[in-house]
Amino acid sequence: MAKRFRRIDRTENNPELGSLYAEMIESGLGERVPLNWFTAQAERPDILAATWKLVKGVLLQGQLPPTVKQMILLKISTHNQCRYCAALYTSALEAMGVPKEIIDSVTEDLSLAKVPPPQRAILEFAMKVAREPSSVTDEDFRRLRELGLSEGETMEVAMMGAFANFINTWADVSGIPVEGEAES
Amino acid sequence: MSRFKQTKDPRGNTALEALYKEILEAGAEGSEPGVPNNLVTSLSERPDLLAPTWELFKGVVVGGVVPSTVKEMILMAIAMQNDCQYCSVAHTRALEAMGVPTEVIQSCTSDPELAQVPPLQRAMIKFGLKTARDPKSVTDDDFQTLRDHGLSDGEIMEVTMLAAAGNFLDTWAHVSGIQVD
Repeated sequence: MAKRFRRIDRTENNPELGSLYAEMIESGLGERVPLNWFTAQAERPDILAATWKLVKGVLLQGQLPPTVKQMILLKISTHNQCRYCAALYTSALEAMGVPKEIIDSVTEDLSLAKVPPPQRAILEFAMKVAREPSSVTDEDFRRLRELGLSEGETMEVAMMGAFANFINTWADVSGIPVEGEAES
Repeated sequence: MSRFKQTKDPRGNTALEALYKEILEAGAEGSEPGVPNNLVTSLSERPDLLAPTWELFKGVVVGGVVPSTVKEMILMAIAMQNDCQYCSVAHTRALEAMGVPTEVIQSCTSDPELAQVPPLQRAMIKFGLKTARDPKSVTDDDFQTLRDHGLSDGEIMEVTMLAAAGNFLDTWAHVSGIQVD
């Protein structure tokens, strides 16, 4: 695939981009340079600033445990066949120490058998949101409330579903390579 | 009927009050004077989630270099594709307020060929629809089509992000169950 957007690594002459990159690296989303998902937006720092605030607010912060958020992202990325994203979230879950059998269950097992029941219900809800938002019913909401989720937490699960599609869409259309892999 | 509590009066909640003020100044008023639209108020229980949603909207929909009318046409076509009543009504009203002719608006909502839409805008809307429907299906040829129309990479990026943001907002409108303003 031809490179669709120029990825910029060096920011010496662009202080706006430089400060955005520094924030991302500080948040762990890259080592020397931020993840390809971000650097592919370097041509438009105004857009990068907006998507970075979205990532920060919806993914890096919030009330749901980070492992659950990453499982939601992995489940939806697998469903959307987004190779870049699936590889990224698998690495993140491994780094968080989530057992391999749970990660495999998220990616390969539609019944999510190895995922503990509360997280399974959360993943199923988010999947439904991502796949067909108009199909989400009051019954789906009740199920999460019965598991003890507050209204605010349910909102966060729903937003994670929408957010995962957003992340996948940019990764697919920009055609970025998996982190650590060469341009194909 | 919204599934989430909608706070109309943010007084006493500093974070929400500041957000509502900024959002109203940007023109996102709902049907009641001085209260933001339902999409905004349906997020009031979690100002920490409203803030990044607003930042995305501000950066990709309000800001940018693509003309507002074209952005609204893209968002309108995607809302129709997603069967999102809340969003299609909101974008129709926005296009009407901007003075876009009725036949152009109707072409965005009900004509897959977009015959009444000028060629450049038509190409942008089609790219946005494809991105929103099946991002994996977007090809290098689709990029080339927009470049042949004179769009820069930065402008193509903006169209892509608009489409992704359109899906994001439509998803929220569906799941929250908000009513048309």
